[in-house]
Amino acid sequence: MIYFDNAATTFPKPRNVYRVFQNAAAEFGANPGRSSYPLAVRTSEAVYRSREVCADFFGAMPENTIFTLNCTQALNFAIKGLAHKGVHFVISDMEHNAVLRPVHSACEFFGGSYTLFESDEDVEITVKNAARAIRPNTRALICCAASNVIGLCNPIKQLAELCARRGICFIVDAAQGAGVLPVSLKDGINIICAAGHKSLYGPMGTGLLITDGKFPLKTIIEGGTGSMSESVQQPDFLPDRFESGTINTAGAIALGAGVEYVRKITPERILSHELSLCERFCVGAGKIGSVRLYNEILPESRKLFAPVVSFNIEGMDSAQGSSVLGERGFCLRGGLHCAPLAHKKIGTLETGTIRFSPGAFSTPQEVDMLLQELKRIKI
Amino acid sequence: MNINIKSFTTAQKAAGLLKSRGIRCMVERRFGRGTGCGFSLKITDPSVSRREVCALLGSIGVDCGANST
Repeated sequence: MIYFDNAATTFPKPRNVYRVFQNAAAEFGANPGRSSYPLAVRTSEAVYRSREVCADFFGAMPENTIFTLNCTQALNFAIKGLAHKGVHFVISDMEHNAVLRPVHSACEFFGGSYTLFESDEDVEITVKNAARAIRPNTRALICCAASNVIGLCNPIKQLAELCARRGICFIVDAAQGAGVLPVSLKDGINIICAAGHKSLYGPMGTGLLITDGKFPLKTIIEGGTGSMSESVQQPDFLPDRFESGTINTAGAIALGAGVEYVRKITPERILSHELSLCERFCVGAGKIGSVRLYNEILPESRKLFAPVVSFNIEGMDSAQGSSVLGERGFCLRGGLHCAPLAHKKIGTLETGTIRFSPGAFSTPQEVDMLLQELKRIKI
Repeated sequence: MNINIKSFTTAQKAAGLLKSRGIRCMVERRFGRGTGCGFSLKITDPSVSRREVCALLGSIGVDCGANST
């Protein structure tokens, strides 16, 4: 079995992540932040250490680093937490449903609206498009660090500058960026939403909401936090405000181990390795007549992309193509990848695409085996 | 000496700072009538004054608070 679906979730994880997860489940069995008997304190301290590691990685304060179940939950907290009557949002034309649906839902609920801007390979054009979409009542600009379909990166620093100039909140969906691309509050982002289980190499069921605190968020979930229990009001301090109920304790602790792994190898080296594999795939697949590539990661274009390549096999829709590859031992996802906007952009809304997304543990030999298999597939 | 802090995470952050300065302390769960659930940073180091501790905590935005003892 050869796994090339790392954009959905990375697999395998570093050995230490499994070890820490197993150990946390077995050893840190008490509920964190609720009690002061020794087991509860040890558990709370382990969660805090992981929070510190994650905070440091994103240039944030530990208390502003909130553990969520996934990136989608973090995005819902951020988007709906900013919504109000007549709200207006700006989003890119490559957004995942994790952004599009909460924005759409918030606008329906509050009688607001949203505008799409076109992301382009040219940074200046992208920023101009985004600037044109901003209105006097725009509350936030939300965009992915990179498309989960075609890998195209958004110019985060330039968009952060734009948002700061216009006084609006800048939210980055870092599901495909955190751990490989430079995503940090130090770049002027106000809120980062990240998946813990993708390029941060944590377990599934983990995510992060990281804020610089400049745009206070309303809550969409309230409940027990272990603090201020005498009050009917949700705490106004972080992270408690957004961590109602028991968190995924073992997952949160193991996420810290994943982030430590990324920090040790460095995001730059991981990105370089994965982009090299994408280049190898694009060069090889470009020579196979029956394969159509929708984004080509080549030496001259690699700076534009995160390590994701979309393609199709002639005569097959993407689901069929990925099934055929699956039967032959290759794990690649087919379909719309929950991102219909991106497919509309590249003209694949009807067919979807097969997505090649290598990880830190993928090898050139595995890419060559996939290319060999693609050559063998007959319609 | 006890410093009352509403958030466990803030209490941990405060404890981390004090420990890095060699000041012995621990985070405890607190419950007080009328004050509800919270946390307390218990300073077990006799060599340090409340004033010094509060000045250090103030540098990371942690208020010693009126209810601290």
